Amino acid sequence: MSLLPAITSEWIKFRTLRSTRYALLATVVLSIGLGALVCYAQRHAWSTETYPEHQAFDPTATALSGFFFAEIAIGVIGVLIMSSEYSSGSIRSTLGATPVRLVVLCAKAVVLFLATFVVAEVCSFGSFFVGQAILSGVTTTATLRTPGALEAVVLGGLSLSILALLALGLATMLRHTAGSITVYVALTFVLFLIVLALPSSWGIHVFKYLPEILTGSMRSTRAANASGAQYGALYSPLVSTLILSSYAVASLIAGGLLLVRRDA
Amino acid sequence: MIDASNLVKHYGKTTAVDDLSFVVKPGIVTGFLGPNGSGKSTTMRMMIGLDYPDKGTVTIDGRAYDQLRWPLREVGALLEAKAIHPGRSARNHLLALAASNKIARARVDEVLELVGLSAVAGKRAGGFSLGMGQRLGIAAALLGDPGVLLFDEPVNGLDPEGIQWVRELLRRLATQGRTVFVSSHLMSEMALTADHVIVIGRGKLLEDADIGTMIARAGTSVTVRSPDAATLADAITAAGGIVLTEPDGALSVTNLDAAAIGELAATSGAVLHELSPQRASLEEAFMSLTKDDVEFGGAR
Amino acid sequence: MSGQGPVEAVTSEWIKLRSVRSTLYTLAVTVFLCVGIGALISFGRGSHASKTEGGFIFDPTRVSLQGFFIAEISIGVIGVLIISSEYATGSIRATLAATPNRLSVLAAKTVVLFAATLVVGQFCSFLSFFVGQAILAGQGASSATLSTPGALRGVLLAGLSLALLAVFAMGIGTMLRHTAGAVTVYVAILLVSFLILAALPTDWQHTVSKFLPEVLTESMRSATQSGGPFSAFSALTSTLVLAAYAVAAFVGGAVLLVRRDA
Repeated sequence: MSLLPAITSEWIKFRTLRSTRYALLATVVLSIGLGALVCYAQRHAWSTETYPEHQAFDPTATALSGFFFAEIAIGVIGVLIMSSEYSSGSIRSTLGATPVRLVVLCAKAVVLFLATFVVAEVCSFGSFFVGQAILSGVTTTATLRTPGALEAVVLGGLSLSILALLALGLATMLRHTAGSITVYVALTFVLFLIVLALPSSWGIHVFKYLPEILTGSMRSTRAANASGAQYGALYSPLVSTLILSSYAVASLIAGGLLLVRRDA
Repeated sequence: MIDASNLVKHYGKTTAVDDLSFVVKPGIVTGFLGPNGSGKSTTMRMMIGLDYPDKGTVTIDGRAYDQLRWPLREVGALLEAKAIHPGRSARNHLLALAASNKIARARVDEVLELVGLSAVAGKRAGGFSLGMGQRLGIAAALLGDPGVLLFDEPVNGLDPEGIQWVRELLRRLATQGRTVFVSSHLMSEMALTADHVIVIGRGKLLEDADIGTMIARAGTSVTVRSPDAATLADAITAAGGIVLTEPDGALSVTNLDAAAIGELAATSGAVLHELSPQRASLEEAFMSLTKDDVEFGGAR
Repeated sequence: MSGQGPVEAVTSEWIKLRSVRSTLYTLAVTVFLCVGIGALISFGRGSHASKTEGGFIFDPTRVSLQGFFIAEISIGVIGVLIISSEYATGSIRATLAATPNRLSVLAAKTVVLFAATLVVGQFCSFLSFFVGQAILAGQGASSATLSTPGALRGVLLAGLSLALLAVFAMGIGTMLRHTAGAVTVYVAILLVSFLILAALPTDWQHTVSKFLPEVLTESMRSATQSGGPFSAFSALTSTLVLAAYAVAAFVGGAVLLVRRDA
């Protein structure tokens, strides 16, 4: 099958766009930077906080606070890898060269996943070490040997690559940059805010399935009590990873079905 | 060889292609003619699997496009000039296409040289002129050295020199034994390049003939100027020609060719100032063939 | 001879805005989701009515307007697209050729965008309010009318907040000229900042929160002061601060538009 050449081709396309490189660079800089800022704030506020606040403090998750931003940036990259083909018309070249359309989608998914995984792990480990360096000497801190810390750092990075695939699936369905980004943001962030606005006795049923809560659980060392008791126990990082992956797979399958059926 | 049989394509309520069947043979340039909106681009998109026909099939050397193992090595297509991301350079665009079909990297520089884009190969395609974009599209079509080539309006946006270059390229590719299928809405353009023409209007086949037949069927007219116009007109009419006198006194003759008119002039002793077969009639033949099928005609 | 004036530029931009089908769809979806989600939240809160859930005063006006979370995103996307799509399609060249004074172009776009989104915003807010209050009242929960103190102000300012955000987004779009980049920055400023706020220590939250767009709009659509978990400006001050964001983005966009090659 011609999957390997298609992957090579997609990799060339991925690395030869200046906008993608800028977006990845911005993802790294801002996610580490924002995480550092939050850690700096926590360091300063530590002495004025209460004992329960100190008990609840998760130095790993705090260092990864910049991931809120990384989640949107990586989603935009996932959207653009497909939607820009439609906006520029290059989809015609792409499908002309590789007419079995699922091969194109698979190749894009592989390239996107691997490339964002590497970048996301750089964000993740970078944020962790920078964050701990800032916190050290004042607050409780973590090392990679702290129970759950290594898992949270690795899965935190992985969560970004999974979200990128989710975004790719959405863009394959919608084929429109702004529309796809809007839906992606709605699913990740807005849905979360809406559930928070609902009564907690309703929210408890859906809360732990929200993408934002799943990624939060993945990058936390104490997912179970991360977001307050009113929403009950959250899924463990590993189960959260599986649920988030199933969203991405569902999105890719739906996108794949539409890609194959529709005129390009 | 391209074989289209009973192609039908609807977009909503519009029928873009209506039961279209034809064969495109190798070794010649086949023109694909029709007014704007007549279904030419849709037909070409169906040839490379971008749009799915509602009915019918189109095959390339007996196989559907998506069954070709390395499609770019068998079929090269220039569909629309704008089929490249504006942020990517011409060379990187071609490298990505080459990689997808396992075409050697060296071939990329070859085709860039061939279309005259080597100097700007590293520049962002977003800054390309229409003509440069067209050349890049042609480079992409030639990338896999394919035996079948599809060109949708290839001279669009090209300067006169570029147009000449495309004509020669099409002829050369056909001479090499390839199947060359070129769409245009200009009969005059096809008259200069095509050996065979397929004419469609509103998605229906109107004519499928070689260019000679097309010209013969069009009934070439001959413009004649002579100080003895009246005498000559009588002689021509007697020999079976049809004469129309133009406002400036010239005679427009149909149903008799230039050689026969020249001989008549000699035998009747009439002096000739001009004796010229008119190509415009080919354009008129095309216009009359498609006049009921113009989708976006101006008010008349 | 009368030269080309602002009326012609505005008319031209208005024709462009309303003739793009995707804009109309987006606006329709915005209204539908905004009112629908407001109704859902009103239904949920009405069925679990307690005066002080989560320790905060139950503000029926704000509850009925919670669908604005989603409207803020889609209206921002429209604001970005009104300029970025001109760059994406290359139509900016035709636009600037037709109206060489670039500030006129931007001003005309702003007028049209502000007016259109203000109308749609008010439609969203009044409709959300009436639907939401009917649902709350139907469940016997405390509800508001337009004569309830602060309610009319909350509804009017909610609609206005969308128009201000649209102009803010347009300014970002003008600066960046790239749809995806501009939408990302807009969402980052609007929502990501709000999410990061929760990770900050409490005293930082108090200092920073009232300047965040999401807190500003929430304050604008509240009938009562300090209804949310974060410290906020009054509704009117919040309006001024949000307007300052819009003006700053507009000025930033205008400066770059005039200086750069199109």
